Amino acid sequence: MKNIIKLTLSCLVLAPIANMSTYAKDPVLFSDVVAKEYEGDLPLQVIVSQVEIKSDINSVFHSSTSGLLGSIVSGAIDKSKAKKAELAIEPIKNSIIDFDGDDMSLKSSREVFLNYFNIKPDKKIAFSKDESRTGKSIFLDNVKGPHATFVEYTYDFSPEFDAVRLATYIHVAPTAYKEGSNPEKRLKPKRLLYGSNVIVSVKLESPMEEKEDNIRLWSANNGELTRLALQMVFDKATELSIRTLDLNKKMAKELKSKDRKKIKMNFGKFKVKGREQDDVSDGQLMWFDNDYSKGYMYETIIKN
Amino acid sequence: MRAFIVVILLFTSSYIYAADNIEEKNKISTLYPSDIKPELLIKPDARQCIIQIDKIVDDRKDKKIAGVLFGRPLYTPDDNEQWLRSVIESLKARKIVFSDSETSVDKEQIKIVSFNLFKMWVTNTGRNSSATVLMYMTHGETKKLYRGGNVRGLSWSSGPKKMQKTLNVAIGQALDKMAIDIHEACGNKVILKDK
Repeated sequence: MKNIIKLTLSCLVLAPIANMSTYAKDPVLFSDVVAKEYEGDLPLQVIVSQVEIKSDINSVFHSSTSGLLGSIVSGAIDKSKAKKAELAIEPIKNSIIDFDGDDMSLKSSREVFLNYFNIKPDKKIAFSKDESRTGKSIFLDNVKGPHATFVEYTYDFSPEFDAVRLATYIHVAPTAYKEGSNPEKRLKPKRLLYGSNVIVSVKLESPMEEKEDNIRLWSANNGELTRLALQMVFDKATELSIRTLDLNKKMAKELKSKDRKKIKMNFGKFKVKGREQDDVSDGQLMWFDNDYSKGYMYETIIKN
Repeated sequence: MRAFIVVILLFTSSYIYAADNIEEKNKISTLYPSDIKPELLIKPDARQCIIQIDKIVDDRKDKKIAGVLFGRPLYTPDDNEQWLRSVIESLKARKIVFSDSETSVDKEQIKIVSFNLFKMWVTNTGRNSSATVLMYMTHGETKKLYRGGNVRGLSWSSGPKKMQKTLNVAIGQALDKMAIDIHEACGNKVILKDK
């Protein structure tokens, strides 16, 4: 019986991680999958399933966990802890009341995909708050070409409120599906044609011992520090996303070269393993590539 | 053993929930309800405060989605304009009078205001639901952003209705703050109730 319980609990822990996966075992390049030419509307949708910065209790992992497992995982989070985290973040939310993450995400996407789709300034990029497969499937139905690109943005605070983080997840799904089958299956991770992540973290140089003190720092002067950190994470994510999409086979291989140092980077309670990329001077950059996901992870500091 | 049974029960109940909630059920009600009581202290002898609506605009980039419940979208009503109008009309419960052609007062007494819904979101965080509403109110040269936020507990049987209650209370908070400023423009001192 103990083993069954252990197995069930393991599923609860692993479910959120599995949800951010790309599942492509062989390296797939964006340029191999996505053609620059397209007919009709831009086959690109930006998804931001939040309106304000989140606390880690409602983190980037949980946000995309839908359906049955999502219900269980969400339910497993301690209720009072979640409420405490939600209430704790209120002063920061109030201090950056006018911050528009939707606009920042759209601006970032425009830059990231400019070269691919030659996006003219007046060309509208589709935007949605619906990260569910249902919502994405509806978008796919209206695309004329063989596939569509989705880019999801999620921004939040680390559990200790010592860092602002942004996770972007670019994935490409096919428009075609077997007649009679559920069209939402196009969005199943194993059916995706491409997937990559960029995770950027901006950490306080001298974080306080207590969360509440960090919250005070982030919310002081109309959230000056939070606004700056958010700008930094969006700028860096844009730069790294462009780098990811521009990878060629040689570069992609080089990222995982054994000559590169193996490192681990923290993402909340998770430790992610990867290879250090030494071409940055302002922080630490790592390329990770495992069974679940691949992409860049970057961390830098902000003076407080 | 007890823990195992609990896990199985949770598994089953969430399965039933997931199977049972399709788009129609995950839609917030057509009109903003009248049972969300204002949390304001308004003196009985407060001056009559009359507004005339210039514009009510939904500025959200995705007008279809109001939030996410256990990973599933919560939709706004089909007639979004009607719903938003009913939100603003809830200011009447805060002793604000809406002018119409039959209002016989000096035009100078009427405050002309516009409302823009900037952001709105409701989601579950574990077994809590949290909602945020950000709305601009413009009166003359003044454009101000008002925020309402609410966190409430959820049970395993909670569905879209419970989430909607969370959202409606958050909207009520933003309306309270707007009502305070409208009353102030009319010369009334209105404050939030101590909780």
